[in-house]
Amino acid sequence: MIVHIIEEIDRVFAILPSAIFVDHKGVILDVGPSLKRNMPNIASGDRLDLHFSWQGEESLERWTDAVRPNGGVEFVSRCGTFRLTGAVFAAAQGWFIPMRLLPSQKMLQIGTLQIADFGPDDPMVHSLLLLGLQRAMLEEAQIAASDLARARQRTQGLLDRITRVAGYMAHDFNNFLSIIRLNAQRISDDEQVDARTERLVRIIMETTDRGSEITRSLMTLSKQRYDSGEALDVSVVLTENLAFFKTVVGNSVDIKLDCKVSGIIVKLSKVGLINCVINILINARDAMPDGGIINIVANVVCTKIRGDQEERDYFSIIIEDSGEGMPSEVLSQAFEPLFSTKSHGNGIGLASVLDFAREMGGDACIDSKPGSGTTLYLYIPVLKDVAPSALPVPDPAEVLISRPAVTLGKIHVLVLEDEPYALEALSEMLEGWGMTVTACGTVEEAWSALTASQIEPIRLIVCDVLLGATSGLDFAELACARAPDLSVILMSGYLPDSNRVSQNWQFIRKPLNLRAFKQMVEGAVNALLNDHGASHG
Amino acid sequence: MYGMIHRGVREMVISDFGEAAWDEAASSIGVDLEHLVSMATYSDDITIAILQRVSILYGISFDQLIRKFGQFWIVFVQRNAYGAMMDFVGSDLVTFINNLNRMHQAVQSAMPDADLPIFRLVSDQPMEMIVEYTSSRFGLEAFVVGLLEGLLKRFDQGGAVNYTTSNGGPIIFTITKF
Repeated sequence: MIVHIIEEIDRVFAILPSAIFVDHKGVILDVGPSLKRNMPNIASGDRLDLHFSWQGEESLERWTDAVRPNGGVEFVSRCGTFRLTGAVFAAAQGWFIPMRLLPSQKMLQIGTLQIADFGPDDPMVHSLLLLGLQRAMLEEAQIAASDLARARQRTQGLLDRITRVAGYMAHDFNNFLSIIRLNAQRISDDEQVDARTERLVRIIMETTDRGSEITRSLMTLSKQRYDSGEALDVSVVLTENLAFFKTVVGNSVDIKLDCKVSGIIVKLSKVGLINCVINILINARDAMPDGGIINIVANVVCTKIRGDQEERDYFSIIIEDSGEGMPSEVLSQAFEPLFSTKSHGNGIGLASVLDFAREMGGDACIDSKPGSGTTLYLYIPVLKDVAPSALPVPDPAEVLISRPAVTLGKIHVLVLEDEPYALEALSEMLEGWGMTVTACGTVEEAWSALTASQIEPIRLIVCDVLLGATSGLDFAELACARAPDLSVILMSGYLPDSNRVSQNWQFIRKPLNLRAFKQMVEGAVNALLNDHGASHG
Repeated sequence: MYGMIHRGVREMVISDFGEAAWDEAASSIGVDLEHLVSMATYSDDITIAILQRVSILYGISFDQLIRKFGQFWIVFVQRNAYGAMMDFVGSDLVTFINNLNRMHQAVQSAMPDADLPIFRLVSDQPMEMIVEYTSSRFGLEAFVVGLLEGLLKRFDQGGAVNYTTSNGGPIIFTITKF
């Protein structure tokens, strides 16, 4: 049989590509195609020990003396890249050694192996394919992860730019709302205003309030955090604003509010809560183009949310609509910023809901199925043993009826505001309160006024924070360095850097709540008058 | 279909039309990078939606597009992590096709849900090669034409690929060599 194999050596090598044929002195007569390919220097006539070593490192002569037919052998290539194992068969010309190639780690790394280096049923092929597949999949996963990270970074960069722009727009919009409110107040201050005009002014004030709620949503999203919260009875807030919620959703959608608890106190931003509910209601309304029902249920639940070690009490607000519901691929992205399935959607609404809930120490989640509506769950931590906030909450759309004019004392106030209409309205209002006003539209004007000698020195500064390219904070610092007794009221749509706001300064957000502004000015004037009285005995 | 296919389509579109074109095509069908996770399986509907949208972008038919993609796929996998595996499978067209099923068996071991076709080299003559293709998926003949054309190019061989179908039976691809 061996004679036949030798006669058909090419066919044998096709099945056993790593076989070796040597004479009785260990000189290579022929080798399979795999060895020829992986060992280009191997040639007929070479001694076996020129290309291979074996266990014991005995000499070729000793090996040829010791080798026996049907005995097992193992060779290691001199280049160190593979081993061969096989058995020796006797042939007339010498020894025929069919061998299996066992690649080393080095050979695998070099990557020169081919399936043709192995026999047709050699299980090594499957193992090597799996190994290669594993490496390829790992590399693919790394590439995909890297792509995903880069795309998320781009999205985040875009989101950062959008949120910055949103913040700037909100700020500018706040300024305009402030001007509208101030001038509405000027109309109201006119002694000849009639009841109809007063009513129209009230509508303008209410609308600017709603507008400011929107800008606060934008500012929240642009990381301009506003009030950190007050102790509230949420059931009261929801009940008080139910009528407004109904106007948001329109006539074709019915809202049913079921407050199963009352007197439960949570600490959160009232404006933030109202915005949050509005955003949810808008989404619910849009899911019911032909009308429907929204159920709002307020209750207390004992549960665990993200990060909780144990269950605790949460005030839960469950808002359920009878809309079309969401498929799973939409549901999974519902809270993601900028994700929207609506042609006019901006993808901010539900993202800000989740943002708000987590900022307040709670969480939000959503459940939906196509055809079964959507339910949104808000969870806010319950405060124990805390009474509702003692501070009076300013009425929305308050209108200051200042007839006759209230005199706050003859204090000289410098108003610095770069919006001319706002400056005009503020100045007129302060003058109407009996104050002496110097109105300035730029920091340069304000500094000139401050440093000029005055019969009546400036005692109070009312100053916008963002003044185009300059900062009201810088001006206030310089002014107070010059005259430490100055009182300062800062105004802005943005929260200024708290490190730069002196302890004695006051801050009011735009658009101005006029009642709060007047109280602030009254407080500053009274303090100045008391100080004056004290210093003059 | 596997996310890697989507990644390949994306790379082809970006290479020919730029990233903005891909972003527009992907956003119009609601696909983002979460759909390109290579070893995840997605509904064939997503793959078809992507390819149909892209075919509009290229201004060619769906079949022309998947043939083009088949050619691109060979270059794509060679350039990426699977290049070493392709080299292992074979260094000429005959060996490669003969060993392709063994590679698919390994893929099947790693991904049991995979639904992979079977290739059989029926004959290899000096002027013509015949390959039999069996798959449970339908409508991908143009893709296989592209794959074979891509392989011919990979092994520096000239040739034209055609195919004939039979009712429910294997599809016969004929490679005319030149």
